Amino acid sequence: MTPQQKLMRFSRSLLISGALVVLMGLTFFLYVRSELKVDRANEIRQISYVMTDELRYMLIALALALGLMFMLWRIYAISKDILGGSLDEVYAQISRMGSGDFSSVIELKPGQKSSVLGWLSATQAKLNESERERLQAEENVRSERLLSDSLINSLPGIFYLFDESLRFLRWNENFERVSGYSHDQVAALSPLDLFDGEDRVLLQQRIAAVFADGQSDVEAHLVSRTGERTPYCFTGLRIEFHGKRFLIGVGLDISKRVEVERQIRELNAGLEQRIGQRTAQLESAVKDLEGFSYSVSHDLRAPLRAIDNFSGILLEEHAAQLDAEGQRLLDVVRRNVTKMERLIDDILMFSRAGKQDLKYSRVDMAALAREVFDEIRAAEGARAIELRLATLPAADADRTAIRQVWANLLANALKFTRRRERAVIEVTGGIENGVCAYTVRDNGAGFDPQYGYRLFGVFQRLHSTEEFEGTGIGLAIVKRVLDKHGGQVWAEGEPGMGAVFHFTLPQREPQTQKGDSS
Amino acid sequence: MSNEKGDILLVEDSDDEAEIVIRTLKSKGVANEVHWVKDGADALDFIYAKGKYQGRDPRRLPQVVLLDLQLPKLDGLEVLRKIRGDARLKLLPVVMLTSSTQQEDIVRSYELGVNSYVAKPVKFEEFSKVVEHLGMYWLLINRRPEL
Repeated sequence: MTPQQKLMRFSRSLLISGALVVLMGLTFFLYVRSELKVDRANEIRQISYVMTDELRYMLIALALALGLMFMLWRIYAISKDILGGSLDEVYAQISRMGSGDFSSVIELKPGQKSSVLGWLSATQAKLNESERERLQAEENVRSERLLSDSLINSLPGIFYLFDESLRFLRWNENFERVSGYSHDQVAALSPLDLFDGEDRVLLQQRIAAVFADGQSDVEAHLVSRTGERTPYCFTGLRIEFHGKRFLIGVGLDISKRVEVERQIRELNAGLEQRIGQRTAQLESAVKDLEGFSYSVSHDLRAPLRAIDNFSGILLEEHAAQLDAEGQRLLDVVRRNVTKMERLIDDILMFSRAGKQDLKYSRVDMAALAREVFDEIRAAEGARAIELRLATLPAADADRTAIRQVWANLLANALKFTRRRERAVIEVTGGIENGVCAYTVRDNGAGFDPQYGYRLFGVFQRLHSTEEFEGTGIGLAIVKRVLDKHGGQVWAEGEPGMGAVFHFTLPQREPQTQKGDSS
Repeated sequence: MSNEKGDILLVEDSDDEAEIVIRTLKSKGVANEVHWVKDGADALDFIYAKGKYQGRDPRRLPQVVLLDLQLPKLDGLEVLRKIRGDARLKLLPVVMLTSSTQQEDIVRSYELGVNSYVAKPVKFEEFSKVVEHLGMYWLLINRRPEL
């Protein structure tokens, strides 16, 4: 039942009891009036009339009193129903809640839910509920703050948040520790106060850049309250809330990095100096070598020439005085002169192979190999020699130098197949990973792979000169030429199973077409 | 043939080398006189008839100068430069006769205006042939301007 309905019922009871009272009064009044008219003529009945009159008035008063009591009882019953308890009880609850105490429980009997006490109970429950929510929200805010505080304090560097008027709003403990300013001092600082000189101008530009573009970073020296300068890397980000713009940023101490960079620079400088010294030493060594090869070509040849020429003159002009043995001995002398001359030539060639600047061009390797082969083949006389020349990639190389590589490798192949009935020399090639690779394979004497590493050394021989002639410098020249080109050379072999020589040359420009095949 | 009496100036510091050249020239029948000097300074003295060659007729210039590169005092290239720098001598035939086969030396000699560059072979037979050819060519075949 709603309070309005209750009020209606209450008013209705009031009306009914009022009407009852009026009706009862009216009835008695009419009754009294008729009795008066009847008895007026009869004096005898005057006494009874009087008595009866008193009785009638008493009855009217009684009826009125009864009516009023009924009314009061209804009023009481209805108001108690509306209040939901006694007035004292309701008053006590209201004054308790008025004093801010919402803790005690209002016990409601069935049907009291829609009474004043019911309302009080509901209101108290609602107030308690919203208070709980408020406390929860407060607790949430506190934990959020705690979390963000722990977060920014746990950051390895410094953290800060300031607005467009350059006033710090939040920062972490590191900020205070590094800057040397107290909490209140930081609050009164501008970010620019932490920098000086060019850095300050730079910071001003970068802060403006953050507010304009959204983000920026900068490396600068942070100047603490005590004037200590520490290199920092700052990263700033623009954020917006409640329609205002802020700069949130972190700064990381980069002194270690700066120090390491300085050390690296120093090391580099030292290294460069050492390289310079070594280069100078090397250059002087190279100069010595050049001087040496020059004197080899001049000064060693002159005495050789004298030995050979005077021997020749002796043989020519004094042959009569020499017996056969004397002539043979002079021939031995002259044969050794030839050997020595070859050695000198090879040394010179070797020193030039490393000294000369390379003139790069695109070299048709198959054509060059064929040309060189034909040239040295002519000196071999009537031997069965088969050259299997495959398609070879063209090379970017110094033609003269690479010619020497082919000449030495093919001459070797011819030399070491001399004892074969039929010499087979295979030349193949291809491009692998941007590198031109070439292979020369023969079916000659081969070599002991145990000593393969000595093949490319100067004056290294794996066969005796009696077996196969040579100064042992050809492959050293090959290696030197390929080294200069940035290429490589290596060999595989087994005694009696022939030898395989591989060499590579890096490509300087990509090529689409391969060299001619023969 | 003309210039039969023309001389040869051999500039060579090695006694043995000089002997081989002179001997070979003689043995190949070259009758012209060979003047042999042992360094660059002497070579210029001979040409200008100065110093120990004061008594020489300076107008009588050699038919050809055979010039070694490495010489005491003035080296071969220096001598060549002096000769080419002299208006009267600049047309004098000069042949480099040297052990060096260095490209550098050949280029420098030609830059300074040498008439020929000959590397001495080591082998007796080849050297004899080269010297014979040289004598034949510069003394008998080649004609030089009157100086």
